[in-house]
Amino acid sequence: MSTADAQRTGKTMLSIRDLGIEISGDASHPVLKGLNLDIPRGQTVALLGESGSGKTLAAYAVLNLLPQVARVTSGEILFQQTDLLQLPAKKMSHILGNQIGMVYQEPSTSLNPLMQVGKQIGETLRLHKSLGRRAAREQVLSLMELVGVPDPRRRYRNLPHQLSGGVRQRVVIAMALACRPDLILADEPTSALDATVQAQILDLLSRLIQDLRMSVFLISHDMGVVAALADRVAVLKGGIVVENGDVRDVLKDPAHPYTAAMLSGDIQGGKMQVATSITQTESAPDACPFLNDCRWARKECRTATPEETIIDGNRMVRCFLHTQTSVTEGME
Amino acid sequence: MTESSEIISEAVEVSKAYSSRPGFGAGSGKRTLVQAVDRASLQIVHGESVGLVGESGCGKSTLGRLLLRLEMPTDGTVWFNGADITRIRGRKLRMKRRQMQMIFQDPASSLNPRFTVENTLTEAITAHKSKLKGRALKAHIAALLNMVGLPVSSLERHPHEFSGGEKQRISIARALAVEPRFLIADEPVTALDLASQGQILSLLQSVQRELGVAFLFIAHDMETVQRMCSRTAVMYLGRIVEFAPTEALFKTPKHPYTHALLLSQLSKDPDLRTAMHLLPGEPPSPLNPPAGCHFHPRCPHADIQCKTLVPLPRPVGENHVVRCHFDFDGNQKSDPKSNEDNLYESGKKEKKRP
Ligand SMILES: Nc1ncnc2c1ncn2[C@@H]1O[C@H](COP(=O)(O)OP(=O)(O)O)[C@@H](O)[C@H]1O
Ligand SMILES: Nc1ncnc2c1ncn2[C@@H]1O[C@H](COP(=O)(O)OP(=O)(O)O)[C@@H](O)[C@H]1O
Ligand code: SF4
Ligand SMILES: [Mg+2]
Ligand SMILES: [Mg+2]
Repeated sequence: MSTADAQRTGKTMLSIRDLGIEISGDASHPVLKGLNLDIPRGQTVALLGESGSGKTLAAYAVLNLLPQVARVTSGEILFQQTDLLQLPAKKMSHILGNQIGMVYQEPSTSLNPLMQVGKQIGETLRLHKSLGRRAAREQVLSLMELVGVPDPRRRYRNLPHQLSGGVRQRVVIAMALACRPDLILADEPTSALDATVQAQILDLLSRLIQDLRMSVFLISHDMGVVAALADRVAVLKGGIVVENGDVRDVLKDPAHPYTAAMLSGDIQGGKMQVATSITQTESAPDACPFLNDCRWARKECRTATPEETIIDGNRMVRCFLHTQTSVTEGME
Repeated sequence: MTESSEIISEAVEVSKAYSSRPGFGAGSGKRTLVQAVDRASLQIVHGESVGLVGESGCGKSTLGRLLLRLEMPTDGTVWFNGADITRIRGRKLRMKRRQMQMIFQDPASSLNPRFTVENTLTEAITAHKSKLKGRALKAHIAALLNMVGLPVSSLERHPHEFSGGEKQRISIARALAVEPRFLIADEPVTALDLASQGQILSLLQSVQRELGVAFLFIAHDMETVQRMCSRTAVMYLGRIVEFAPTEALFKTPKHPYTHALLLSQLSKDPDLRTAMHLLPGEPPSPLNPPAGCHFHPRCPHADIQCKTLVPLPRPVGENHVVRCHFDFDGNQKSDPKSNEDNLYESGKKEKKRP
């Protein structure tokens, strides 16, 4: 089934096609170079990439919140038949919170430091669902219960700084869920938390994903988080998705050398590039983005970016090792 | 290895309390105490790499600063190479300090943005009254750059021209400039991307191996210390709750908190996702720590005595010390053979001095 078909039949919640984003300014450079990613209804799809690879920019593009310096150079983002990139700001603000809920890494990004947290969750409800004060309060309390905020009635009146990091993130999750959105966008939802608290929040998210059958766009640099939550994973490198498939397939038997290197922790980060690191310019614009670090690189890898190739029916990989020969032959 | 002659750095029941004014709106402005470090003991042997792990705010950086005597403990003593460095000052202290260095989490803010790499390294060398000049100085600097894997062409450049990982190499070179015998690396890779993390860890490993420098490696994750350290201490709310050879700590953790930390490590295997074992709650505020064992509100094994009695460090194996009232065999709890000596009432201080 083509992407357009899937969109029409409503099986795909979000479809990012050929998204290009460039950072302008003195050292203007592309960050995303044709990102493709689909989120089927009811699934959690992770975008996995190192810090600085452009994950948050992709999320901001979906939310129409790109910073001034970032410019969309190509592509479309289809959300329920609508291209979000073409949507007027006013319509977008209706979608945000109402149909798309957001969970950021830093609770401080989403929370107003001067407003009682219960009220903040209520605002979202009253704004989008035009609920009365009392009805909203009841819903807020049950949301707080749902996300495991201890003693909701007392916490309702707390300001964000009076809560521990874990409880704050639960409040942010409650806000994201408030309007029962169709899609949750979670950008590094546990990266700011300590180990034992991270485990709690991941447990909460995975239960919510199951119970509410949510569609989730998960963004993370951490393979452990992806393994804990995602159904599918797309691996981002050099502005494109180099591998995309079922999370078990990808993490247990990576097809792309970059995914394999990330899993084994054996990322070398290229040759020392003193003074070129600011601009991050690649030697040849049309080369495999993993070229400099790849043990399997051959001549053709320098000449062009590998095309999307489907292997095992359900997995996409962009690597010359897979255009003719099988992975295992190439890599072992 | 417990022979004192081999120990380079040692904390003996050190404590550090900060007085902090409660924030605005919190009343009279009365000062309260934050017990950042609470009677922590730790020994580091020459050439050894010791890990210090725990969740943020548990006192790791403070203990690091105490060991280097960048701060004065409120209680206890700190030894370096046989001298009690809480009792010396001036030139004598500077001589000791020169042999210990610190590498920080954020290389950007620890490097002077106006200094070239050459300025930075020259200053580090001469600040400690090294007599190196001219050719010898240049050669020393070149050797340092080589050690940390930076090209000589970096000398004329400023910090902003380098990536995060490269900046961290510069701060490692600066720390090595005075030929220290003891280095504290305080979460040196936390702020770096994946590729640089691996490189910097490998670099620190080779520094330790080749120069025989002793390391205290501060981290908030278990994975890093497992890779880097032969012994590891686990901290919880100011106290070292377990200190053991890293292998033993991972194989047979004796403290319920260590056990929980190990279980909350994320697996990269999607099939293990159901195996999450959760610890309830979060680390409490050090402004208002729980009585008895600090861990008791979250501990699945807590008993009445845990709520009132502070567990003292207790040996449970070779080089293995734990602060818990009980012994565990898997999840089976039992009273340790002779526990009486190890109990004292919270608040009362009866200290053994070396
Ligand atoms: N506001 C901004 N101004 C300048 N550059 C930016 C801005 N936001 C992002 N970038 C650049 O875009 C790249 C991708 O950033 P980001 O999407 O935040 O990465 P990630 O979320 O994967 O860590 C980075 O290299 C960063 O330097
Ligand atoms: N200079 C200081 N003044 C007041 N409180 C401090 C100071 N330094 C650290 N603290 C407090 O001491 C505790 C331990 O801090 P720290 O040693 O930085 O922990 P960690 O490095 O494990 O994150 C924290 O509660 C922190 O707020
Ligand atoms: S002393 Fe008690 S509360 Fe503390 S860790 Fe041991 S069993 Fe748990
Ligand atoms: Mg980001
Ligand atoms: Mg610290």
